[in-house]
Amino acid sequence: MIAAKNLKKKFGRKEVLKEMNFFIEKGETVGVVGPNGAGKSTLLRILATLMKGSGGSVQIDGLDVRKEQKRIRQKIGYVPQEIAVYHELTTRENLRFFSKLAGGSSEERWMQRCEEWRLAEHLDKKVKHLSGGNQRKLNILIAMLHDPDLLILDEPTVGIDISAKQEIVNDLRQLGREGKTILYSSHDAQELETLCTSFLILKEGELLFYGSKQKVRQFGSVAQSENFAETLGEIVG
Amino acid sequence: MVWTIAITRIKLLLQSPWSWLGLIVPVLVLIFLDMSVEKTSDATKIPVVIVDEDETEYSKTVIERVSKNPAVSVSVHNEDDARNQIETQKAAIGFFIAEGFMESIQKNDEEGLVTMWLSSGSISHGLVREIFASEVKRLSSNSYGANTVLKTYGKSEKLDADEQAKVWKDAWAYSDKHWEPKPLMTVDYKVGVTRESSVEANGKSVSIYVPGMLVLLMLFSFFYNSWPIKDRDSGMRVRIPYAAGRFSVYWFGNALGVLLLQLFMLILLIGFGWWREALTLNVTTISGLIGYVLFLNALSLLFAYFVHSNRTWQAITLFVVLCTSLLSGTFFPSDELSSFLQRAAEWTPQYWIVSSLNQETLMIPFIFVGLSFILFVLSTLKAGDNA
Repeated sequence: MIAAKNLKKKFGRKEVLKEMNFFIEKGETVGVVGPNGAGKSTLLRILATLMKGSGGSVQIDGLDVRKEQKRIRQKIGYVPQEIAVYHELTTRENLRFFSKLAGGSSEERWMQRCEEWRLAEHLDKKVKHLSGGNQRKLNILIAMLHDPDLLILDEPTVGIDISAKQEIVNDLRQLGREGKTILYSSHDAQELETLCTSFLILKEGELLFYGSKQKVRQFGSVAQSENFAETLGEIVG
Repeated sequence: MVWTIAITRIKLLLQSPWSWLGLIVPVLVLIFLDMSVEKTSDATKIPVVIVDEDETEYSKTVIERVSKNPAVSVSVHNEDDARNQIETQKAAIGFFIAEGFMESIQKNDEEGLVTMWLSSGSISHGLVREIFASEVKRLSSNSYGANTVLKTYGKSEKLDADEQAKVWKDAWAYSDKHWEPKPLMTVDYKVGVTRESSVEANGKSVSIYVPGMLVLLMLFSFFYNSWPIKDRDSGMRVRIPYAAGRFSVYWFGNALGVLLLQLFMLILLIGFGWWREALTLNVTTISGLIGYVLFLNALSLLFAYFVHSNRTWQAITLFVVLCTSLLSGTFFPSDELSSFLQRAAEWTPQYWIVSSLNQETLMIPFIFVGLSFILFVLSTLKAGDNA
């Protein structure tokens, strides 16, 4: 699904991504992990076609992100860190507006998704009156209106309580089971452990590790540790 | 899709009743200020009372013409009331037009035509006497001219009574026409809305309606076009390329929404301006103002692309609106400024819209539309898919 070859990104003289190589299979749920400044958001933005790399290449479903932005964007749902919805409009108005922009995704489909994600009862509430968790759910739902194969989420659960996080993680797991490829950036190890099947671990612009959850456990010195967060923490340093 | 975006933008801008008030109240405040200025201006006029015992076409003409003079405030009373007004100093000067006024003028008998009463505190009687005397003299000269023409012309041509009346009337009208105030030289104020033309202020108190309207339109353009900054903050800018396909579509749709709202405001302002007689409605005025609004929309949108915080935007809005309004000569003629500032005034949109309203030309609106198109294309290209 995603193939990165010698991917680099520089801001002036500063190299924020250094020669990255990885291949993500279709249907995988990949956690993008690393300390602040590791290059997670930059990597996600390049994959999401919002930014161009300084060298190397990235292909999504065989399409070059530099040359075929438009076609790639049809395959991608991008969830920014911010809650990018109109807070003054209702949930329904937001969904209706963005589904029209997405080319008329049927109301039935997103209504069904709202019911699955327990948002149906909040359809006529203004977004600013929704709980943080529900606002975050709507943020994700809107990114899925055009039914993308790949969902890229940049810290989508920042600032919400544990139970809301848990709900969102469960809903995303359901999407994974439906065959969607998910790239998920977060600082919450527990959330990552529950959701992701493999991990891209970054540090200071370098790809430290890419592999399955089991391999993460083997990678750290706390081998076979029961505490996944501890292992991740050790790798990231 | 463009319409969906435009309508949603309007909805967002007019979400609460407060936003509706924000749209209407400034217009009402402007009208209130304009009326207040007019009242203040009335209070500075010289109060004049006139007693019309003649009540003929001539006496009424004199009263009407004197009343039109912006220096005086005329009221017509009977003799007792008029004397009372003078004695109590409510009026500075009084004129008594005796019976037979019209007849005397037609006979070119100018002796004792009008009696003038002065209030004890009056210091402006010289000016008012000249105003009044010139109007009486005008009628008297017209009659004299008409009588002379008839006397001379009537001798050589044998005219019946109807023909004589017609010749007399034509000669009278011809003479009267020469009294229309035409100065010996033309003083052309390039800037300033108090000139005659589509902005009607000649012979009236100075109106602040049009300058105020131009400021309001600019202020609202900047206020409404802050959406690109909010969108950037809220992450909407990175979301749109996936939803709308092209960011330029979203950009254009929002610009259209704001423009529609600005046009609504313009209709309100033009409507009130017409009602207050501060504006004459014609093609050039309307197209000039539409061009101005279009240009403001394009300009503020381009500015908004480069600004990254709401605070900076507020500061820029205040700076642009204040500076351009003061510089442009909208509130006072820019030829009172230094030559450098006069040149700077020519870079303000208000300068050009005022020139357009004064000169009643379609050229300036066309230039506004052309520039707006260029600015729209620039900002759309710049914003483009560069989310």
